Amino acid sequence: MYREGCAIKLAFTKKPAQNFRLLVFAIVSLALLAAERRGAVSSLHSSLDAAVYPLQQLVSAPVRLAEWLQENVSGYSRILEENRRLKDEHARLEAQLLKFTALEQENIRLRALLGASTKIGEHFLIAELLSVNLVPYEHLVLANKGSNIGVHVGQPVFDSRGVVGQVLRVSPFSAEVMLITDPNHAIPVQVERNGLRTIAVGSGQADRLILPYLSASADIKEGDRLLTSGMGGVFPAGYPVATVVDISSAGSSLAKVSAAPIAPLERIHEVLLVWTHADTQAASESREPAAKGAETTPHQHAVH
Amino acid sequence: MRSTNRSSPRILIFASLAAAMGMRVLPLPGEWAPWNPDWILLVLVYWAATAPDRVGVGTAWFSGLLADALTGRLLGQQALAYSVVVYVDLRLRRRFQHYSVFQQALIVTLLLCMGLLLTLWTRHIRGAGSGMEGYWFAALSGGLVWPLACVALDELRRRFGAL
Repeated sequence: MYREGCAIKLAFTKKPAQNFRLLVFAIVSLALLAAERRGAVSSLHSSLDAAVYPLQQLVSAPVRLAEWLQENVSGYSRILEENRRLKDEHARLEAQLLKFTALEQENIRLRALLGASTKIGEHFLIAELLSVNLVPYEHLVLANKGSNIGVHVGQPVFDSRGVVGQVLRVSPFSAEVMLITDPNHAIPVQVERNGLRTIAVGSGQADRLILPYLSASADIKEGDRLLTSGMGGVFPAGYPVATVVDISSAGSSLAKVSAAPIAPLERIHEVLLVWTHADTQAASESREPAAKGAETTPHQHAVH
Repeated sequence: MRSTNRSSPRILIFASLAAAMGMRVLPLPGEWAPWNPDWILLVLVYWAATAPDRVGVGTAWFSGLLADALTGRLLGQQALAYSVVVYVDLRLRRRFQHYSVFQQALIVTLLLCMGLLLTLWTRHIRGAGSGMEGYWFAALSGGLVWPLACVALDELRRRFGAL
């Protein structure tokens, strides 16, 4: 009897406090959302990301372990065969690279003659993807390299076959990568055959990109390869993105073109993070004035 | 769901929330992924109904913030949804305990739908998405696993409640 009365009293005294608390938390949430949209709380977000990273690794661990076991118990002959195959492939790629380096040098020389600015090269770093499902319907994956080794937002991410996506957010140890198939992602491309430029937008399906801005008379056909065009400055030019699989113009003035990504986005475990040389140039340029400033101040001190 | 007669230990609440966060990002194969229920919200709904002195709007909000970081959403999306859902859950609590487990499952489905609706509402801030058929599956599967989750958590509470 006494307990019941107590509980009711408690309920009475607690209710306004609850209402008030909900109001406060709701307002804080909305303020956070607004701040996040302007990118004002990215440090808070990246520290929270770092806090949950061990948990994500833990969830991913059994899958990694299974893969590791599979690799380790697979037969000697199979490994031998794989090794031979990889050696052959390596030799073949080395030979191609020789030619490619010569062509690249020539290309840079010619562009210098024309006075055209160009991104002269890229360097790559391999990152592993964690086996965690973030949100269905948003095509995000988590890579195990973060801002502590210089990964930055907007960085292009490739696979050995083609473009995978770009870095959406970084924490010190991990990076969220938005795949090119995410409905919010768009990538400037050109048709390999004729240089026709357009934009490929994610469809939300893992095996489709949509090219919504092509007129029905555009010179494009099934089987055309789409490469990055280098417009927009995020992706370096000339990397394979997708293959055109379906075209229908159904009487309208715009063609409905869909393409299949070349990188197998649903099955990849390893990706390449890319630093273009323009990035490093910009970084060293922004660092230089600071260094000059540091040099000049002692002089000024000496003068005064 | 067992009614409350004594407070549940904080460590149990914390551990179940951590486990729920792990299950939330479980790498299910593609076609099953939309069916993975929001375990964190399920566990929060359970604890808010059985241990309201320990789990309230504040706990829900912080769990939501961690869930946002965990699943790569904008900070505040799930924090907002969780705190509102737990608030409604707290208001329903007294009636909730008299319902059969299947009636509870129905209400939990509705609560999860509310949570999904709230996250959907804040989603447009990043940009509208398409290809969303099956967005609500998670609420349905959440209602389906509620009886199981409820029994499991009751059992845990009975075993470790005295710690």
